Amino acid sequence: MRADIYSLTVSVMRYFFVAAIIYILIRIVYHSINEYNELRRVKDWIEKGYAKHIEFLPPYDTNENGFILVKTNLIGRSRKCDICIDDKSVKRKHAIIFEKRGDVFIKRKGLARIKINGEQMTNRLEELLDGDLVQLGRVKFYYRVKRTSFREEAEHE
Amino acid sequence: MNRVRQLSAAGLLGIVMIFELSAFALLSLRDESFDLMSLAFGIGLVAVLLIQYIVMQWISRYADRFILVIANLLAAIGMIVQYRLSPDIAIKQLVWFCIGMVCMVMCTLLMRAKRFFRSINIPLMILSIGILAVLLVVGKENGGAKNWIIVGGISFQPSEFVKVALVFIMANHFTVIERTWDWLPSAIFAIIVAALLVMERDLGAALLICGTYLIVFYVATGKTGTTLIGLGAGAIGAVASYHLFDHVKARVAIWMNPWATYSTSGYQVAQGLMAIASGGVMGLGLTKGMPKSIPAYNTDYIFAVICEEFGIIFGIAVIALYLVFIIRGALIALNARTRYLMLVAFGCTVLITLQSFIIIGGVIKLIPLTGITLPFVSYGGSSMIATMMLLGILEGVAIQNGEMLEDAMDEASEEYILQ
Repeated sequence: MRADIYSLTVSVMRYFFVAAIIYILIRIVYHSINEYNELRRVKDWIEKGYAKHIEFLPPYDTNENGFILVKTNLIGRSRKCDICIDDKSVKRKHAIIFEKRGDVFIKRKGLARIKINGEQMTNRLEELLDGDLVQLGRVKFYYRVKRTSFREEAEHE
Repeated sequence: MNRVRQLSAAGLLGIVMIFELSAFALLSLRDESFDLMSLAFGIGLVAVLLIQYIVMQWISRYADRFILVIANLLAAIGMIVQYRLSPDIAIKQLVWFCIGMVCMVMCTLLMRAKRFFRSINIPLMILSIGILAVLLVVGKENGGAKNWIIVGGISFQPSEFVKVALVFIMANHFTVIERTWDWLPSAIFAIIVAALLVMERDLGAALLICGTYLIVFYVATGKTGTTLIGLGAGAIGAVASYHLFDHVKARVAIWMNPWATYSTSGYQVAQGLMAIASGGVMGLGLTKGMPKSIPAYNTDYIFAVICEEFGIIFGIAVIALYLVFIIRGALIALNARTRYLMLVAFGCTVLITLQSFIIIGGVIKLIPLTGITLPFVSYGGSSMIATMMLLGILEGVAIQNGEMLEDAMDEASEEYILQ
């Protein structure tokens, strides 16, 4: 009797094993394609001088150069974040800035508070426009889009 | 500091662990009584995989997680099959896997020392040829090939480590090509190594080294003519060894028709084919097959065992994993900072995937069978360590790529904002 149950389990588990390996395979291929596109975008930006970036206001402008935004950027105090802000007023995972079809959005994480141009953000999701001033806790930064690079302008002059 | 977001592979690793734990749970119930040992082995393996993932994350956030997950999945499948065949060998394999991981981390860290491997090029060449020449005299014969050396009670297969050396030697000689003399020493090296390996009857390794050399040569130089000449020379060498050596002749005869000599020399190939066929599309189920009827079931023929118990779809998925490995390895090579690193990464990728192609092709009777291990899956200490070293080198290159991109983004953002 137990042997029968075991045999049945084994034959059912076959399907699980096949499903698991195919799922892993598909996920790896999917992630690889995403990662490849992301890398290509970043390289394009670096070459063509077209970048969406954020610029922190003092005293948080530690990077002095601002941050170029990639497709998804997690902002917070945690070291795991893509953009890491060392300030007690910022939550460990505070916000996500992401791009969808060329538009850039900011999304709150949990109950985090975000002000855009001085106004409290009430929706979960808000679109960011060029020159917006965003405030997370005490930390403020500008969102900017730059379409011409320093190199090209220098050549132009 | 700008950072490119790295997609986390922790979820995938979790699925690998669930996969592996459920297989070991099945194994623990196989003898009508609960076998705690196999479940403990499974948990131990989970711990090892977790530690490895965390250590690689700790070294750098740019370590290629997906290649790591592919390697871990393949190693986990190997460990499941080894444990199902014989628990003692699986425990040894786990120990080799741990040693291999230490070697992998060391290789990853050594890749940071930019000129280290270039500076030891000539010692590497002399050591490789020397150890293979010594093997001709003192080598121990095991499974038809005289390529084992016993040091302190542990047997090693030096040809596995010669492959790792070959990657660096090729990359070093192909980095700058202005005259023929720039690449000729590496060609002479590859030919000597291949000849020594054929004399030791290690045909699989000889084929692997020649194949890898030709592919990397073509990628590095783009010389179609010379590559075709090399291919022709390889073909002439193959025909010559067919006429010179009886064991080559026997292998080809078995490949043509394994059923003619079923009771003697064709037994292994025929049994392997029957095992794959009896598994069918979905497989017989773990512990329900008869893998021990195939000779070399836990080393060369492990792919037939996987197909028998897990099914042909699973086998195809394993092949697909190696294909994804090629793609990710090639992407690492394409993004590499310098030509030297590009060639190193590409050499590692070609070596691992060509090896899997040679043995899987042999098992399914696509090409004549030559004894060689299936990377990450087969039992074999030297093979496991060497493969993990190649993986570590690839990770080292990937980490440098990520850091380079980070620097480039920093530089670019400086330009945008300071104007």
